[in-house]
Amino acid sequence: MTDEQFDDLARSALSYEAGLPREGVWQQAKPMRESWLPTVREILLCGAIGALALLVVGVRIERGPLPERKQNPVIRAAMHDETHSALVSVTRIPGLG
Amino acid sequence: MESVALGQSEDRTRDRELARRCAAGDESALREILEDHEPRLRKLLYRNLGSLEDAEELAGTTLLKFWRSARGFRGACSLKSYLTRIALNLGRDQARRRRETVPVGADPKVAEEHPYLEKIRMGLLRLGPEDRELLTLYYLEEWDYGEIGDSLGITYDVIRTRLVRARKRLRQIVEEQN
Repeated sequence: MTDEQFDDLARSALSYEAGLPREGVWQQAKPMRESWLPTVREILLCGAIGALALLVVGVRIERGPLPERKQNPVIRAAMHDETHSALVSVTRIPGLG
Repeated sequence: MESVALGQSEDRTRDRELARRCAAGDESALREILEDHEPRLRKLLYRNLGSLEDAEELAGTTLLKFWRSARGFRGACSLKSYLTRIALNLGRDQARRRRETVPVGADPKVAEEHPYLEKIRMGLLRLGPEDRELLTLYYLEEWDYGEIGDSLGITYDVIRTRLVRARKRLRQIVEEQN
């Protein structure tokens, strides 16, 4: 038998009709992912939107007017209404350490 | 000749697009790949392993493995060659695991055919993995040397040498059975 004859026989020996794609194979190959889990793209998108929102809120707070601080009327009277530079006062009471 | 090259270029573009979609998590791209390649991979694995169950399981594993590594597909070779390489590696691992109990069952559909053909199939399963893979691509897929080289990662000259050697070994095994 020549090599060519052997090749022909081998081709017909190995020929095999595989048919259509098997659904069982798809069930096995199908990526297993719970449908409620977000995709990486969704996570990145949500992160970007959240970061942008925080940035906008931060900028608005920074640009807004400073809130009025309530001043202690006793200190204010003691300082003769010069309390703009007095932000903190420490009072030591003898005997209390 | 130009139209062949043009067709190949279109195929490669489609392959890269499918891989890109898989990498982005598009399941329909994997489904398309399954429709295109699953029967061929199953057939190849069946002839390499001799078990339909294993062939079906490994065809699924091949696609899943591609899905997970689709980002790494650059289109240097065709998707067909790329998937074949994955499938053959998986087949080789499986054969190694089941070395003691390689299932060698006769093909049920061709029980009445010439006995020589069954001997060839049996003989193929008795060859080493390198020879078996080469002969299945050559006889079953009827690939040219370029495609075989892409899948097995060997050069034209090596394919030629190995093919002569593998055919000789197969003939010896078949003739020993006569």
